[in-house]
Amino acid sequence: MLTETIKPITRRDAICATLATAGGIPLGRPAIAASRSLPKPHHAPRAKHVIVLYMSGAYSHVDTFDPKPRLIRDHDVSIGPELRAAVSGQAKTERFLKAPLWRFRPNKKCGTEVSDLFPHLREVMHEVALVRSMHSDHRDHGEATLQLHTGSTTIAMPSLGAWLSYGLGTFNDKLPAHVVISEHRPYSGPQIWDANFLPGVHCGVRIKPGDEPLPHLKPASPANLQELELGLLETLNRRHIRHRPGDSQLATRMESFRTAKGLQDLAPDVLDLSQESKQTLELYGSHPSDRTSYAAQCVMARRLIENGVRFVEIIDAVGACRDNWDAAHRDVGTHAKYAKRVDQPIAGLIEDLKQRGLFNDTLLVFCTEFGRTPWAQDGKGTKSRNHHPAAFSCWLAGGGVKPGIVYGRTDDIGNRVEENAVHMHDHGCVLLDGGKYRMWYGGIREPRGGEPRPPWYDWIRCGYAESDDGIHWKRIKTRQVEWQGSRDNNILPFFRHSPLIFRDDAEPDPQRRYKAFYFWNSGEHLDIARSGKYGKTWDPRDERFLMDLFSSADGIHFERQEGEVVFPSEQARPLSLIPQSIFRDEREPDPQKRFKAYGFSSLDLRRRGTSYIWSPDCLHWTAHPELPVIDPAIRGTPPAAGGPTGQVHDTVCFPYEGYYIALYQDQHDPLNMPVELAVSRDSESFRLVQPGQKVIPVGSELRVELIDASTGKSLPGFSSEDCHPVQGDQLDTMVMWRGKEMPNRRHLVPFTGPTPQNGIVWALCPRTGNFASGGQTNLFRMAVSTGIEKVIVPPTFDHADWQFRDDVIPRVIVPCCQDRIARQLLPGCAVIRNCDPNRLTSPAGDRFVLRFIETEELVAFRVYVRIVDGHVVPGPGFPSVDDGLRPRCFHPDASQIEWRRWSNTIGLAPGSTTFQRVIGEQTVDAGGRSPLPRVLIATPLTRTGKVEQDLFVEVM
Amino acid sequence: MNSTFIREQSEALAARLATIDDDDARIAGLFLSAFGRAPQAEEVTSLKEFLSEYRDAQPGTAGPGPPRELIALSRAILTSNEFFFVD
Repeated sequence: MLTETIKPITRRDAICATLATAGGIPLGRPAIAASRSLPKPHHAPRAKHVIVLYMSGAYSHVDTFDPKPRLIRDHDVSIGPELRAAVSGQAKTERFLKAPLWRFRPNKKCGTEVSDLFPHLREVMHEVALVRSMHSDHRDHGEATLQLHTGSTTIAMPSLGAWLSYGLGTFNDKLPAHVVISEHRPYSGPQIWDANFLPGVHCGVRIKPGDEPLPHLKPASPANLQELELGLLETLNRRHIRHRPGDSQLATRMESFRTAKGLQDLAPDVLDLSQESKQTLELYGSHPSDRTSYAAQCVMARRLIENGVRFVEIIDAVGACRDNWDAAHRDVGTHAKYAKRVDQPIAGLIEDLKQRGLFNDTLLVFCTEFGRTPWAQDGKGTKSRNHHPAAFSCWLAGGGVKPGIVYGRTDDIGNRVEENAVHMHDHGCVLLDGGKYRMWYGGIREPRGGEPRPPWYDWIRCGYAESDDGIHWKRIKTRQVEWQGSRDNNILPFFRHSPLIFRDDAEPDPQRRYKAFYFWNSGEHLDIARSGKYGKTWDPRDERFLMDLFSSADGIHFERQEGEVVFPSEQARPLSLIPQSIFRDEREPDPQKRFKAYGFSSLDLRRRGTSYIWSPDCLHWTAHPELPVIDPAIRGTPPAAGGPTGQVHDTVCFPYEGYYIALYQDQHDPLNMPVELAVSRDSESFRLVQPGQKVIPVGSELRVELIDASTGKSLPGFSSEDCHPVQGDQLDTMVMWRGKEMPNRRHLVPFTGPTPQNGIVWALCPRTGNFASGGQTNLFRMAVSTGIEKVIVPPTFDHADWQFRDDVIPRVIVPCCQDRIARQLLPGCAVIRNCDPNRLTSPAGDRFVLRFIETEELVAFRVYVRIVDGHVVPGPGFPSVDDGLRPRCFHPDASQIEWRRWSNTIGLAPGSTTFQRVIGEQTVDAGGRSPLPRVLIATPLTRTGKVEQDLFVEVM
Repeated sequence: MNSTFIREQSEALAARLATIDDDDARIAGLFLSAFGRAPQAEEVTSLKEFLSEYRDAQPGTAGPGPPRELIALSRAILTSNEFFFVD
């Protein structure tokens, strides 16, 4: 395992600073307090406080907040075999719909219907945003409860309250920022309020309603003696931590004594409900001697937030995990007991918060872990409803939430979400807006037949584009480089492919605001170096790792300086090292490490992991002596079936709120390289967060089938079943059918913008093969994060008259960018390439059909057919073509064909939505020859260019 | 720190310390049994300071059981990070 070596940062800085003067400072509160309220939010928050009202056990949505008249109409009617097979898990058991036990009635002001279980809540629904389209991932309480609180159904992660405490700090140093009122141990236990990998101070403090809300709060000795004793403890602990600086466990435990002292002073007062007026208590349905009811807990929650607590959760459970909303194999009628317990108190809480002017500052979240089946669980007419994560209802109120609305819809029995699905992950997510996006990208244009063929690296140039939304791009003419007799283009000098670039806001010299880097140690760069271009005449075999720095005031006009990476340990010297993210680290105390860069490195041909280099000036770089810092050997995921893999490829890293977050490609197998997450506190020792959990997964699937036109049947071995599915977020991959090894690799390449303090934007660049070594093309496509939990694959990348192919490695700079980590990738496009000609012989001899099947993101393309003798026959049979498609890699001269260079693409069109299962087929008449469809090409590019050929089948 | 368990344990430890005659030897014995090491000079000084301050601050006469300053000292040792975490 990686041992976390200890480097002081942020919170630890504060503690260490205190320790450095140990002896002179009493109890060190100020430094700690400052660190607890240190992180600033990215935008002005509306809600200052959160109260989560968690209904433990999962209430039935169809009996509470989601009225389904059909359940009444079709009570005891079978749900039918299809539905049964899809949802019940016991396909042979007959299931019957079950009518709700309570009548639904509308709120008079907004019309939102709520059942008679919640007469008080119904009266305040006009203050509430009801979400009827929740769904989650797990059908067991423990896992679903964990997901509700931490986002994960498996390995515990920091809880919501811990994140809020961590991200927003506290208003009151004497009270914890995160409090949980829980009479009993909930599902999944204290994990659901744990801080996990966040500093322990953000862990929830549990309060038990009753006479002693916090156990052991009463001091063992008088205050002055206790103070002496605490002082001794602090001295002992300080001396102890001095030799173990930065250990967060030690520091956290030290701070827990300080928090406990604060609680001693303040908590009895805050939790003292006798200070509440009788009217207030009655509003909640409580009374003066009540200390334990749900109403009393709601009053307590209000008092806590009034006193500056950031996050309060009330876990509703009458008796541990057995006496709660869980109606599996139990009478749904028991809901009445639990609803009655919470109905008036929560309505009272809303009213009370409004009266005190706290409602707009406080976000109320009424939630549960999943829903209940619209059918009876144990057969016709039975009383129970089973667990149902596919659909349920929750609501939000206050804190700027739009009142009186209903969001999302389920189907007519409440089985599945039909509209505006809200995954549990999305619950409470906020999207932020960005500013202008800029991109420096590599383009490749392979010379066409008859054109001169310069060395291949001259096909690659760097272009510049801008976008307002990160999705629709415009090329910005830079007029610096002559290309095909004109400077009227967006090509930048110096660069091939794309540079690694960032905006260095802390750079005092405005002429050096933008810094771009270019490496001379791998792939095509070696060939360029050998050629002597750009003044690089050294022989790369002398094993120097050169790295040029380009400085610019505007990101467009650059000046070059030569830099170099040195390796302090010869043993760790890699074969290649390619930084992919770079930033200035203001928190780093060592000026030699002011700039840090992370990326890919290859130790040897099999061992690849994350590189980390640092520099004081962006010119003199030093590699970490123990590369790789994210090591596949430690990654721990068993290799995927089919071979020993497990390499860590491209990586970006950026500082975030006192941590360093790395997104790395994990090579599960050569075809599947999703992006995973690692976290570090010191920028060199990384902890893998849920290894195997895809932060950015590879997308949906496309299959291709070859059909014999004479019989209408698929060619043996080339049916869609035989096809190795092409997953949806890469632009270019090889289509293969069963039994053939997939020679290409599928990558997602993460990268980030240069404003690490503000968060990240990254792109995913699927690519295949290695241009330099394999002779295959690299084809890249970009995806951009536009918010907390969403990554968008841009549907278009406007190349119009840009003469290169769309082989881009974009680097994005975002002046005001987004935060946090993408959870999902919208499927982008799929590409077919390099059909193996030797495999594609038709038994019919001269006719066959290509059929494209099953993808949601392809909407239109056109096929052209070319016979190799030069006679081009456009295909008539395909669906109409969007004007956004353009050919690529079209060889008019058969003699020029190099098999491995062919690129076959099915493109995606702008604004694509859905696609029919069979999107078209094409009959090819090969004139008596044996047809060999070799190439399928489409490209999702221009909207304006003339469509010549965009997807074609070549036949020999 | 205020729990019954810690109270009982610190009283028991204090009772053992009370059988030792002087503070230097007490502190040495305490460090050896709790931390498995001898105290450093600086630690002996600060612990002795604590004991004398605590004695001065105590109201009234000592009750039954081990001296309260020894209970407090034991409690601090038993709740310290060095005792709580093993390196």
